[in-house]
Amino acid sequence: MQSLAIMNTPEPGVDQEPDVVTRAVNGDRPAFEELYHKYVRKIFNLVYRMVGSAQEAEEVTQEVFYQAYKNLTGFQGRSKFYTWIFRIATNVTLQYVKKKSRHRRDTSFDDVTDAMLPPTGTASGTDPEKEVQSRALYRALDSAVRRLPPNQRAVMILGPIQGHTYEQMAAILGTNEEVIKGRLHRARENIREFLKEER
Amino acid sequence: MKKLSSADACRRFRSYLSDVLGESAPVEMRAEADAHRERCSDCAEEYLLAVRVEQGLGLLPELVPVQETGTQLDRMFASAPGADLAFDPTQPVELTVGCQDFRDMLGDFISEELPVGTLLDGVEHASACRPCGDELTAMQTMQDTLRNLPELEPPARIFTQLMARLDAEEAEAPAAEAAPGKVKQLATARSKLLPVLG
Repeated sequence: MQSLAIMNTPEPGVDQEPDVVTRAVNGDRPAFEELYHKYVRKIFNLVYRMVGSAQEAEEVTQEVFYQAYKNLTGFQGRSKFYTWIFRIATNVTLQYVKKKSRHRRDTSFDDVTDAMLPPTGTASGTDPEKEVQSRALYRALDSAVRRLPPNQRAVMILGPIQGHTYEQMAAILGTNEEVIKGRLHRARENIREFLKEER
Repeated sequence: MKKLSSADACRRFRSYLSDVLGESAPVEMRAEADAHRERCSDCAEEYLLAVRVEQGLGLLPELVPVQETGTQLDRMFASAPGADLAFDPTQPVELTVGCQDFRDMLGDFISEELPVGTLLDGVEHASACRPCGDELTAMQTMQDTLRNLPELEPPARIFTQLMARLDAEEAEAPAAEAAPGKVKQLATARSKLLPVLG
């Protein structure tokens, strides 16, 4: 059994953040740009996994930061900026996914190409059979996550994939930790079912 | 651990690795594999990885039904330090973490959201109970794979388009400020509606 590290993903650079957030709230565009560059990667990938297409993820990510900029004056520092912007991201994205599913029953997702998969890091490094197996596992899990209902997909992306804690997820999604645990549990059970179907 | 094995020994080890993993290897072959792993760090690592992949792909197994407490106790006492100490098997034994407790805490366990003490109790249980250990390995494999899913690089055009959008809006705002009466109200209303309408 693999050893388990007790590790919560730290919020990136929050210690140095209040100053730049204050400047951004006061209308300082370069400060907002700094915050954009700090968060865009995580938010773009959250959106991408939720909407399933890189092209749509671009549009939705732009909308997330646009909404953040327009609402900056409403940020009162009661929550951390990190939580606040992720909340905007999940709200805008869930809204988009809902709207999209009303108009089109099927959700089209980009295919996962081998180039998009990370190296599997096998010890031998060159065992093609193991490489194929590991890639198959990545693919199967990736597509299983995509089949989850939006609320469960959101917690699977925020938690197991992006490494947010229950507390952070509850703050981002505006709910409590018990609800998050329940959604995660159902999401994991669903993933196992989807994987069994594919076997 | 020193690397003492020859290339031939390693090749031989790799050739029967799948038999060893599939538990179809004879006892002598297993013993040879175990001895080789002791000597060769590369092959030991290869073996561990293969076990994980094997568990991963056989992965996500059927849910294993929780075992009877007696079976768990037998296994735990058989392997626990001090197993030879006298105890009365007819008396109830209080387990720190039982199978059902472990399954209930598994999500928190995988998410690394448990206090250290409880975490260690869970580790102890999973080590002593094979079905729960297998369940944990499968969940851990799923978790590790999810954590390592690839991240895309956000295209730079998101930023340039966003800035252009904000610039355009800021250029529009002074015009709205300067416009008298209704024109000013309409311009303000439009700028508020635009983000909503997309």
